[in-house]
Amino acid sequence: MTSELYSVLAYGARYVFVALLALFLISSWFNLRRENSATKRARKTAPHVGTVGQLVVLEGAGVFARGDLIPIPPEGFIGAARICDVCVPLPDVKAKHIFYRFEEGSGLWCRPIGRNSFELDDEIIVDRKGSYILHGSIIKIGAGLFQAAFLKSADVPDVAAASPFRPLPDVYASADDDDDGEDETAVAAQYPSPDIYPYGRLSQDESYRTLTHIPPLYGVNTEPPFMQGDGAYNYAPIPQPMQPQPYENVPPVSQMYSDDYSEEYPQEDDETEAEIFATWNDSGAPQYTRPQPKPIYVPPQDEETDEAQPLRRRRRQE
Amino acid sequence: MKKKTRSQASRAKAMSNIPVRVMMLMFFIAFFLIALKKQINAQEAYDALKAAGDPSAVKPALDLFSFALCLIVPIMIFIGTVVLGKLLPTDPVLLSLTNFLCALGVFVLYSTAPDKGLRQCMYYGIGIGVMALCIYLVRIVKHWRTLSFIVFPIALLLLATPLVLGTEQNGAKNWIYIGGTSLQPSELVKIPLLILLAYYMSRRKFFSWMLFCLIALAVLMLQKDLGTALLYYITALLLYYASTGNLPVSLVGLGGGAGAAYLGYTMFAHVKKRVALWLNPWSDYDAGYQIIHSLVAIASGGLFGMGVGLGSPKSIPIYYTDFIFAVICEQFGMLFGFGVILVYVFIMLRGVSAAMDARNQFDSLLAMGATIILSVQAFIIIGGVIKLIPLTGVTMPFVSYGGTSMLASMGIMGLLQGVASKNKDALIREESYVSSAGEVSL
Repeated sequence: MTSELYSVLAYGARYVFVALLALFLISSWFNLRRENSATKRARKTAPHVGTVGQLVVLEGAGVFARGDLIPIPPEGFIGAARICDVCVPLPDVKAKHIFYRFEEGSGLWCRPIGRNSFELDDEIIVDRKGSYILHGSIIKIGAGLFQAAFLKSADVPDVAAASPFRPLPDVYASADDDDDGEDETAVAAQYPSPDIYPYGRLSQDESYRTLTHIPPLYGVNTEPPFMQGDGAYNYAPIPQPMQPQPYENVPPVSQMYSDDYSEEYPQEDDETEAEIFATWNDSGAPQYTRPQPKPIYVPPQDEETDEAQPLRRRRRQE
Repeated sequence: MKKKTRSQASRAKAMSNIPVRVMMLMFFIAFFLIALKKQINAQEAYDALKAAGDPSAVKPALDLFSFALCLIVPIMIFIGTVVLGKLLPTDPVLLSLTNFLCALGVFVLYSTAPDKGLRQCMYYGIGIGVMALCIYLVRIVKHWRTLSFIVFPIALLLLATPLVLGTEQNGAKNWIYIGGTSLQPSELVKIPLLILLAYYMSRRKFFSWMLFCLIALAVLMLQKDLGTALLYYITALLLYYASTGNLPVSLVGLGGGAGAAYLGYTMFAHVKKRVALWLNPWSDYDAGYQIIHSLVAIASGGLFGMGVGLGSPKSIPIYYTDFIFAVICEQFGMLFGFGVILVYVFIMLRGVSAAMDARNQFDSLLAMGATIILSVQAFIIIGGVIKLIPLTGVTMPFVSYGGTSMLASMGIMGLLQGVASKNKDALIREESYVSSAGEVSL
């Protein structure tokens, strides 16, 4: 082969190289897009991808509705600023209020930034050592109140069981889950529909663990929770205003036995008292229903000291 | 009879194999042409001697090694992309792009200086080991606090070594010689720089990373390695903006950098000269020799290049390090050179994507830092070669000749690949939990 022939070959190969590079770039671009779209597709089918849990809004201060869910990425800031990973633009919440980081097995380690503070399970956190948000922990940031719910895949301990609120039975239990001979579905049927719970949407999401320690609704229902017959108690449902029914010529019961009534409404000779009352009841007069007396909330007593047990929070085991 | 349509999975697999096959074909043709050229040159030299009546003329034997490289290099590309992709937890897109650049560097060096090409091949092999080490470092290490205490002083000591033991080359005292091998510590310190910046910024330890950067920049200024100092500074600034989103402070930092650059311009005579040559290289032909020949070479190549083995790449000064991009443009053309720039752009896009998908702040900043340093370095050197910005003495990642440069670039790519592979594992794990959520007991 001569130099001239080689030159012709090399000149022709120039276009081949450019064409091959173009093909390489086009296929690399398609592979790049495919890798990126795989992540986007995963996020659509599994919206929890990239998060460790959610904050359930208990009090939204007019910004969030009760029951709203705010996803929690593994690490970042909680604050009012838009760039925060958990954005809660509520009154008294600073732009970057809390820094948090998820630690497998321990929970969501969080500390306030600067001079900020927040409440975690009734404890005010101000120091930079931080604390751990556990599954079921109640967090008060500014004017907002939230409860943390973690995914099943997140290895996070439950908040302390030593609380005045005993756990609810599993309302989604099927038949006899705990082998105690009792059908839990019958127990679950006694409780209101989960739709009235603030966790309605969350509790139907099988990716999440059940929240077993539910506090009363602060600021919405300040009455203590109702006691149920078996000692377990529940949220008080949102109280509806009770409208008293108007009387229609129905005298008070006390007057029915007075002498004046007897004179005003003389008893017919052939009517007995029972017949009068039967007639009166059948007259279609609307009945006035008096509300049932509500039990007074009594927190469980400590056997030794006879004092109410405070809400305790599990601390990180060193 | 019609062929059955392929499923989406097999189509995706076929598409993912195309870059590897294209690379193998490209470099098979390239090395074949070079081997042919070498044989023709040897034959012509023999014919000239014989025509002159020189009795010592010996008929050249077939250079089997050069022809064997046509098969060896494609096989190495296959091993480096497909086999390595199965053995290590890597990102296939990044791996194929990296291998393309490394193979291109080996080819260009072999075509101009065969001994340098073979040595570059050896550095590439060692670089794969460094890349694997960095991948596993990112995947295995969970707590970086202890490591940061160790790495901090070692990195600064390594960076300061040329001040004591170093020799001056091209106006900068940033090389040390150990057992006949030269080493550029400022290249190797890029890896600890990224790890420390990512760790301290993710933990909001402002003082720690500022201290490290200030000391490192001061040492580099003393060594007169202004190109690396610029690279360190831009990386730290962009990473600070990425971690905090604080635009005003970042702009103040940028202003400070511009001020320092102006100070350097007024204080250092060679900086003044470089800026003057950048503005008009023809004003001083001797001083502007490098940039002038680089521009002439790029222009000579035109759109499609002069052809492999043709042209005169050796007339470009320092053609194997700083001006290797000019050699690529001369041989393969400006379109090919633009394609090489796009390869770096793809690496940058994939790196940013990996940073955005990272599951924690440290991984995100590490991936972002690796992307920034590779992209900015490529921009600085290519920009300098084409006279877009004043020329600085940084190398072209994966392509330029240099063992330390290759090891550092592969290590940085390893950090990026480590984060990308962690993202992939996390995605698979999260998807599996969601799909089996109903079966997982509380």
